[in-house]
Amino acid sequence: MSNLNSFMGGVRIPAAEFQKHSPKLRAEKISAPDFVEIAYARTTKPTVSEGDSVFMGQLLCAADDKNPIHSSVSGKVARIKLDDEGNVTSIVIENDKKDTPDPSVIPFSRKLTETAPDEILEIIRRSGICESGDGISVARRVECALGGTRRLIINCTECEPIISARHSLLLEHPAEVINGAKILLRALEVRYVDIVVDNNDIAVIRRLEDVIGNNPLLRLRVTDNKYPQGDKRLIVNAVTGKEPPVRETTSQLGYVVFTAETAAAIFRAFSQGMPQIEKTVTIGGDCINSPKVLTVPIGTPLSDIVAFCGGMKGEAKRIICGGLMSGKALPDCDYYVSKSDTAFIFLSEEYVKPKSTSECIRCGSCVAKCPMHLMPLYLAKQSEKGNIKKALAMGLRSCIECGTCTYNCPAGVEHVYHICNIKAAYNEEKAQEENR
Amino acid sequence: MKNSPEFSSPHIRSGNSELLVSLDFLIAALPAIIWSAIAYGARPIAIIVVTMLFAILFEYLFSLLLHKAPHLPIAAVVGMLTALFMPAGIAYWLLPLAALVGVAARRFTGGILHPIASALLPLFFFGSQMTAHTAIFEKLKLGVFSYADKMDELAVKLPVSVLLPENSPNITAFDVFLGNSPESIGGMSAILLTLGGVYLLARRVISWQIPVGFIAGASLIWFLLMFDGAHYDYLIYHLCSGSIFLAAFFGACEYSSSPTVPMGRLVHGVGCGMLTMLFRKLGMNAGMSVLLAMLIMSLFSRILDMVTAERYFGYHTQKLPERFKALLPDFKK
Repeated sequence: MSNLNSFMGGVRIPAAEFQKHSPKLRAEKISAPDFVEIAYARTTKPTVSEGDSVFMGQLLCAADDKNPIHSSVSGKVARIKLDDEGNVTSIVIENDKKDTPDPSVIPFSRKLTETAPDEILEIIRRSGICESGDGISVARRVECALGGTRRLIINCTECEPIISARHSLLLEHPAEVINGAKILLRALEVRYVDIVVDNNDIAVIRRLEDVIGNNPLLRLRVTDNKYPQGDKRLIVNAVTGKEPPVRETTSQLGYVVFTAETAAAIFRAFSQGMPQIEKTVTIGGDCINSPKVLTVPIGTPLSDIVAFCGGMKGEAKRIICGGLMSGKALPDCDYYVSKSDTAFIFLSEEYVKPKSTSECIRCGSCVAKCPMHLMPLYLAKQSEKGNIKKALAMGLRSCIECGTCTYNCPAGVEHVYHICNIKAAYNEEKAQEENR
Repeated sequence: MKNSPEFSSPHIRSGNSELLVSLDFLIAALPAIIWSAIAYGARPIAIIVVTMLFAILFEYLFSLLLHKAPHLPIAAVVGMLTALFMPAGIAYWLLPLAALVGVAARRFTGGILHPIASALLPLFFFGSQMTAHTAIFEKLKLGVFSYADKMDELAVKLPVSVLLPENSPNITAFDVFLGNSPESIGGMSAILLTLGGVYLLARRVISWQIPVGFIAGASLIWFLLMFDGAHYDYLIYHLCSGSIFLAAFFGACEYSSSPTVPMGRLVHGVGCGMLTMLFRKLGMNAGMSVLLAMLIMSLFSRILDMVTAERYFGYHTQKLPERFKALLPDFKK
């Protein structure tokens, strides 16, 4: 176990303020929903049609698809939803509550040491695991990293308040995470894995230390509990001391970061053979009667989750998919859990502070707190003007939209909003240029 | 949903607000203001309150005129700091003018012209108002409703405005440090200002770079000029004067006119301190030298930000010219 240097800046969000709205750490399983709606965002046609009966874990799309999706329950395909252009957007499956597994679901029986990296990749690819948060296919990242990996990092930090699904996983099933890390170690052929945890939960560190024991392949590294320590680039920087250039992804440089959930999901794909059909999410916030860490099948409607958590106290003014700092707001409860979701937070009016549309007073707190050493006041100003060139000169590419600038701003300037807008405009411009 | 600032992340705030920041400035200045009231009577309080009220009024009018959100607490701080730099005997009719110029400088130049310095500079065109300092503890002569004409009779020379030792009044450097000598309203007692400054530093309202840079810069230039026959005693004398501390902890730290990058702030502080002492060496009035130094340095605040900014994370080649271009106004439109 060794302590790591953290980055400059960042914020310490007072977790105590949100403690009573945070869930108990023990993960519960939701009672099976009557219907699940699985998002189907790909170009190929689904392999099932309306009225077909499906098994739990059955493949719903073509077998050679890059990131396959599976039925999370057994039952009957009730509807295949199409958008205006005739593309399939989602598949609704009626649950027969028998949980009959697909015949193809068989545990991996061979020894890991006798398995080639390609075979491991094939199993990861078949299980359709997605990274939590950004929703990138894990198989694709493993494929890119195969052979050229210098460091493998398992991200076990959790620095946003309320969200505790990862802590819960690490407390209850540390062995799954560690075994998943060992599988990745084998696949990527690196010498050792860095397991990064933050220093605010001693229990997690103890549990991991117990499981790791004296294994030289696994190194436990402890970082400061500071937001946004969980960012990929900042974790790579903390572990290796290197600064990933802004134009390259960390995996292109040979530093591969996976989250603890991904590692556990990979282990489950091996030990049970079941593809990723469920996700552990945090349900919290002051509007929820009993906050919980819940394991839900992919495609569960959010309204079912709310009902399982004892319903809502009053009206939720804001429903956030993701963390309080970086999550995105949902318009209503009409949402179905996807593989990349980590948390759903329901906030009442008390926490939703009115946002002022005030200008900068140049206090400099955003500059002092920016983990990427940017000057958010100038960047936001240029972004607000819509000046892409100048925003790029101010370091637009470096911005990770963590929100520390806006969190601290005494004047209430919406840096992140302006920066997100100009990033979208920049990407659009770039796409147009490529088309030409 | 996505394209509304109301729903963009982050969904929580630290609870820091303009009002809190402004209250911190007020609390920090309170010991100095109280000491000034003890020494001069109620008149300094009246000057501060009137200037603050006018500053708030003008800020509100400007915000209506420009259809922008008003920054009333920040304007109140500008008004208060402006009043702190004024002599106790200043005429009341000058206060609205000072508040107007200060708030306008913040509003229209964004602090490129130092609001407090530009607020006080026009006052020099009105005779000797900026030197209307009076002897302390003469409350009867200096009432709240005293006329400005009377002030000329009462006016005294500031100890720090006299540079040669033989002209020095019978006041020791320690007296100046404690505040037992005439000065501007806020700048009487260096020790009380330091107390306020430490409070601001502890609350992280200001950063240490500007005050430390200011005092260091002032000392440095004096050591450099010492070879020209100046006396070492005078460094102590000046460095103990309240006007230096008022500028170091309050004036130069004014948000809109100071750089935002830590390194830039240090350079800004050193620049202000050096220029102040240089102007004093050249025989300029003590209050005026501080203001002019701050005004000149505030012109460079944006450039200092760009030059001293840290390398952005992941940008391995630093491109200064591009950053400077980001400063320039857009000519195409």
